Amino acid sequence: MAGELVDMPGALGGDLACRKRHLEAEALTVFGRWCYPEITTPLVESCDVLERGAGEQVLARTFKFLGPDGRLMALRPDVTTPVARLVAGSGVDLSEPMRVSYVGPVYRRTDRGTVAEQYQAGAELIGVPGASGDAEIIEMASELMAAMGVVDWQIGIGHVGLLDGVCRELRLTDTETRRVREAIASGNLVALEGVLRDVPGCAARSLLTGSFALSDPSTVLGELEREIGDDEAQAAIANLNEVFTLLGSRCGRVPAALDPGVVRDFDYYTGLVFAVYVAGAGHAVGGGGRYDDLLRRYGTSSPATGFAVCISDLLQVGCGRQSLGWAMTGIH
Amino acid sequence: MDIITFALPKGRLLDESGELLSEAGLGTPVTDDSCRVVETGNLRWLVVRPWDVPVYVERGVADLGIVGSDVLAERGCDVAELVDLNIGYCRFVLARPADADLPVPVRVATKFPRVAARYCREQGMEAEIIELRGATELAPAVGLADVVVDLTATGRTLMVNGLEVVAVIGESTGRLIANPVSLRLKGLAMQDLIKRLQTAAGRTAGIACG
Repeated sequence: MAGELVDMPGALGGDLACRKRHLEAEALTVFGRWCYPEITTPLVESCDVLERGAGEQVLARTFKFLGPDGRLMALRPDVTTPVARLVAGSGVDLSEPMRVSYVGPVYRRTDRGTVAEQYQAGAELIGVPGASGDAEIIEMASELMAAMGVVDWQIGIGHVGLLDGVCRELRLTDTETRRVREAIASGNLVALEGVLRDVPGCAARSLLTGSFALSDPSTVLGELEREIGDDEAQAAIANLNEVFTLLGSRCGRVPAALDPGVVRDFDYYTGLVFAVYVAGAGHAVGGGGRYDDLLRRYGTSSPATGFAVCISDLLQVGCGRQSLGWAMTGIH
Repeated sequence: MDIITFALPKGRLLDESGELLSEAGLGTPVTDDSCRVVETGNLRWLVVRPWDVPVYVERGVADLGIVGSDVLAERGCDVAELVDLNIGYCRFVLARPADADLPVPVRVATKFPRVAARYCREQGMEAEIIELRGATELAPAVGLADVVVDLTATGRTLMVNGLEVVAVIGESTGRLIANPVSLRLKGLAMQDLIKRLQTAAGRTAGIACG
């Protein structure tokens, strides 16, 4: 087969383009209020640079092509990796936190081999470690959802150290741990129950089998904390507890719950991760998490966390219509 | 109260699904095989082709679905697979005309090209996969293929066409699938449905094993 068909249904007709502009403007307003100035990164990145940060798995889902000098290039699959490259390589002093935001498209290869163009709005918080940085990002994400006009959304919060720590606590072999991770990532409770067949009932086991739904952090984390000894899991629990406390204490409550099975698109997350769910959308419309190791791969170590929401998905569930009062009508 | 939408498969699984749902106290008003939408109380039932059930669930148009694991194995949809319902049992098999030699590369006729290709790769078999929509059992007799990879319940169709099973590739049963976002947003209502189906499936399994 000589090359791939690029089938990108990206044209926005009817009122979609106008609504998209409105949502982007709302996003930038929220980012402005939180003091996250806008940044842009190129649509095109070189593959080896992308791979250095996001790992070789990322190339499987990018749209690649040969650049004019014969180098393998890609349309950016996310903005976080290019921002990390820019910031880490720029020599800027990261002893002060750095906050940036963006709106723009990213490009992902679909399972069918075509390329999907998705419009995102997102932000990165560089240089603020731990729960306070995590909570800031999640709170801003929640405010963004309100500004987008979403009425009913939920934020599910998990932690990459939690599942691994729990597997270690249950004394699973490496193979069993891998199968548990795969089962949870692919949403396969039948396979998960198969791997855990001989594991006796306990809080750790319940965390794994309950990872396909949201749960109350205070009860679940409380039980887990009392039961398990694994250090990494305990650290994850402490981090989650702190973040839920910070979120709960804000007026204008953030609708967040524990989501142990939350799945993120990239492998560079090192700590807390979260996803945003909206009624009417079949998959998470956004999310993010902590990626403390990414900037180091581009030359300067710094903790970092961030998130993005997919404006394309929000358009699909009807957001942005409130902008249409003044827009041209009757043109479809 | 949340509306829960259930996608059911037309065809051989529909009757067994209906029985299971009745066992679970979720009697469905769907009695015949035509594709349609029916609403009762807070439940909405869609009857669609088995191949399409995971699509409705993946997109979130259906919160839950019942579909054979053969479809899931071939389609690879992004859905949560919650319960093995122990209905519609059949097996993926590799079958060839009795006493025939297998050439290299071997031509494989199948309705399940991905499953077949994966199997051949794992077995180190050089194969050409020929995708058909139906009646794969005819292919070797008319010279279209050397072997078939097919789903069989009783084995009768293969036998009648002079094919013998060379290897069992895997099994297929009906599964309860769910949309991951629905599981999180409509948690309580769905947990009740899922629990009831799980219990009913367990009872059925017990009966089936005698």
